Amino acid sequence: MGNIVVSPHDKEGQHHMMATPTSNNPNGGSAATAKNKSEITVLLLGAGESGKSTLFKQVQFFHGVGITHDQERIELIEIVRLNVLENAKNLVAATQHLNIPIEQPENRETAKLIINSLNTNDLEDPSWSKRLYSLWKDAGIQKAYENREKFQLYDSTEYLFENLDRICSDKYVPTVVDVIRTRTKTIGITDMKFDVGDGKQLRLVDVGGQRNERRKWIHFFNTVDAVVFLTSLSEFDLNLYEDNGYWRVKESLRVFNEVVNNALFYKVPFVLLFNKRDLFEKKIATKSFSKYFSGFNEAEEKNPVACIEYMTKLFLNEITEHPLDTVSVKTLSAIDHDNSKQVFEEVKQFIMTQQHRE
Amino acid sequence: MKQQSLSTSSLTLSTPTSPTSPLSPSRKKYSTSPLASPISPSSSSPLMQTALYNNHVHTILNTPTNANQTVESLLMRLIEDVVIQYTINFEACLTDELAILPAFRQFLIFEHNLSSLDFIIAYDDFVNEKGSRYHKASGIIKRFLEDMSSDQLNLTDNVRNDVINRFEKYDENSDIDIDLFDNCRRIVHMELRNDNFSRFLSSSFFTGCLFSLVSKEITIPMTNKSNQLSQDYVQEFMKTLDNNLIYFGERRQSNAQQSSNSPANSSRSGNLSDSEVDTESTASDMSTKHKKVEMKEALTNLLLEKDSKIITDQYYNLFKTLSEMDIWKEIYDSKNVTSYISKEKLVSKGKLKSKSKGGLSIVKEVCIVDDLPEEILYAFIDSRLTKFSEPNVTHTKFIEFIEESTTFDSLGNQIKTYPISCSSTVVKTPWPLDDREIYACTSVRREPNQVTNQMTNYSVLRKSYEPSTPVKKGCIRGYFFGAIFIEQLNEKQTKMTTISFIDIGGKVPSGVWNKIIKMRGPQVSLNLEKALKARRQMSQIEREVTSEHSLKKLDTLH
Repeated sequence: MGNIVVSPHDKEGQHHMMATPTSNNPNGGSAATAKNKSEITVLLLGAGESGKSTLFKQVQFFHGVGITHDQERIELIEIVRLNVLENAKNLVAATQHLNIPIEQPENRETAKLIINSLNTNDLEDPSWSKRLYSLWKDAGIQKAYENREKFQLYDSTEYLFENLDRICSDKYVPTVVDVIRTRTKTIGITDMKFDVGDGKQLRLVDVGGQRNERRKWIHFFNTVDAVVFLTSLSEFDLNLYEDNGYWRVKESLRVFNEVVNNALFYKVPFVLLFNKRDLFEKKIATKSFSKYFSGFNEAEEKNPVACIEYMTKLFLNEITEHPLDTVSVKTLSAIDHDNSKQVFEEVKQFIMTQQHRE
Repeated sequence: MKQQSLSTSSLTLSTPTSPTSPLSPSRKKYSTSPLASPISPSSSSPLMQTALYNNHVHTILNTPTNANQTVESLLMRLIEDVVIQYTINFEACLTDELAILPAFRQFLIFEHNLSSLDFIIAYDDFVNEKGSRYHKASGIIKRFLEDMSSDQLNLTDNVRNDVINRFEKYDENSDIDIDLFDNCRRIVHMELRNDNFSRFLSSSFFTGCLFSLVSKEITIPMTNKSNQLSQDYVQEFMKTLDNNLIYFGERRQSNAQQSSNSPANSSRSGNLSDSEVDTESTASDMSTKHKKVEMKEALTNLLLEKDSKIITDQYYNLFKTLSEMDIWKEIYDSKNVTSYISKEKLVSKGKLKSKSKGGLSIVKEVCIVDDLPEEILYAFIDSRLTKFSEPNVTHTKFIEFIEESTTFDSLGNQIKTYPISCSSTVVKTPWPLDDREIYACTSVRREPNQVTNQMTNYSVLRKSYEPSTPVKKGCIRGYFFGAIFIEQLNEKQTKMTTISFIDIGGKVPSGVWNKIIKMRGPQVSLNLEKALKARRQMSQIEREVTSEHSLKKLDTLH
């Protein structure tokens, strides 16, 4: 069984985490090799807001860990409501920034309260459901929302506003879907383990994706058995959270390049997941895809398959070192439970097969 | 937090390598407890999920798979099961510098996010800086904000640049805005709580820490076989655990416990079960609420009057009402003594501008003593006996006596003030805290015995004031406000109720403070017994409490 050693005080004052195979391996191999070692460490990597933690939550959920339990979700009420408030604040701020007035006077009043004093406890009062919903439906806010590529906004905005009648109530208990949809920026590194049969355990590691967080990834690079790299299909019109003015796709490609061509990962099975397919298909219906990619045939821009094919090529072109037969590419909609389950199962099979081949 | 296994899942949960060591990075939620693992059929029974202690203990002790578990791992599991019934307060944990905070720190090292916590500490340091804040601000920016800085925080470009741009306008001589980092702090704090802290609570770092706290109070049996644990022992363990947890959170109303094992309908059942409960909001609730607000105001006002050396009926009534209100939660209970702390902070901290993070809750101790009210009163006001009754109070010095007089209340009505005796004391606090020097005036009032209607019961009121003299070297100024109600219950017994509010001044982690109060619990009656015993051994002449012995406190009694 995998034994994790934490050495909090090494020389550089940094904190390394090492997973080392140990002698009490159920397969009996004391000198465990990659082939028969009992713990498979899989890293979820990708830039910020690519959906690593959403997938992680889904995997937890279908292994009956964490948010399965009502009590645990009760703890998340505040986080869901914070998401609502952050979304509302960002939208109101955007109307100012983009110079789009909020049309209805009563909505302007609501906006003022949101910016100045509203807190999560206030949302227990059902009257906020109506007020916030009315604000959401205000022509000014809707116009800002249509221009959301110009500022930072969570993907879950629409979902949360459409569910205000549940959220703004003192009886509110977040549903599993609420929790999956809620954005909590991951800071640092977290992991979970579960058995995958044959006496093996899979250890799934989730990380934060922003630039400062990526410096922490290195702690895992020497122990990794597989990498699942996520990138968001729907980010083609967005800029970075941590560097406004930097195109997200460019960042994703850059990070992908660094990771996939990393010498430490040379022999490691690699999965590239194009996430947020659902959002992407909605987005290309109203937005021009080809505007962002000069090499793409404009006539095909409403065809999601063609767009995804193009994106795939774009990413695979970055691979210069990694053997292509150990790279698998899939699309995903991480907020969709069934899709996540299916894709993750495929990913797992791919990794296990690759392990075996080795 | 509690995990459940899905029978439909093709995968089984992992078995822990070592869930017991607090520093073991294997987290509880990923390390299956047999309760929830597929091998234990009881995991899906509704009984388990709604189980109260007795059920829990019973089931855990009698599950055959547990027989070979070590005592420690069994108790750790009990802790896990109890913890999920609590809502743990992030702030309270951050101020517990002795136990929870170090555990959280270890956890953050494990999760690679120590910078967030370090930033919050650096922020406090910056805000509390009395002199120039320039270097502190510059240090924070270099360490936490600049791109590629060693502990760079995860913030948006805008938030980061706002601060950096604002700071660039300063030079070494400028007054730095105290709110420079407020926005960063708000975001970092929120994310630390929402992300890492929520995982910390379900990690073995947290449960391990609780385990070591509890094991300081009750002995963990050396046996290897958990089935040798008696039910009584486990009950006691649970109670001790509760007593510890109460400082960091509140037990949730068990309203949404009937969750389903099936992910498909668990969300629905959650909403249903929740809508069935908690609909009581009666008129009496409202009036209690109103009363609480009133009390809060009155108490805050009392504490604000630090300059006045005046005690009026208003103060007596205030504490009497407080002692009878439904605001207390029990933190210690034995045959003779019950200790409580107020469920909420009854004093608006902002108004007081008090630096103390802890100590703002009020403490109530109820003690039943086999003696008469007068004896108990003397045991308290006789300064020859305070070394027994209040061993932590030293260097008591008489300052002045002020005769009764009259004053005006806020409505302009003339009211009577009680005669008071003023004195200063030094209250010893455990290392590494500094001792507290407290100036207070005391007044004693006779009260009617409910049965005989004779004035044989007593109330003692103490109220701190700000002296004109500087604080004693090596001490920190503290403030004490409180009352003792001494009421005869029957021919033999007397009930003594102490209400105390202590503004300890300086910075004392609330965890430490709560611990001090809790440790007092059993001591209260023991100390009083000692004082009463010492009194019984005095000669008739010695027993006579004089004006001098009582630092003139006796003279306040008419």
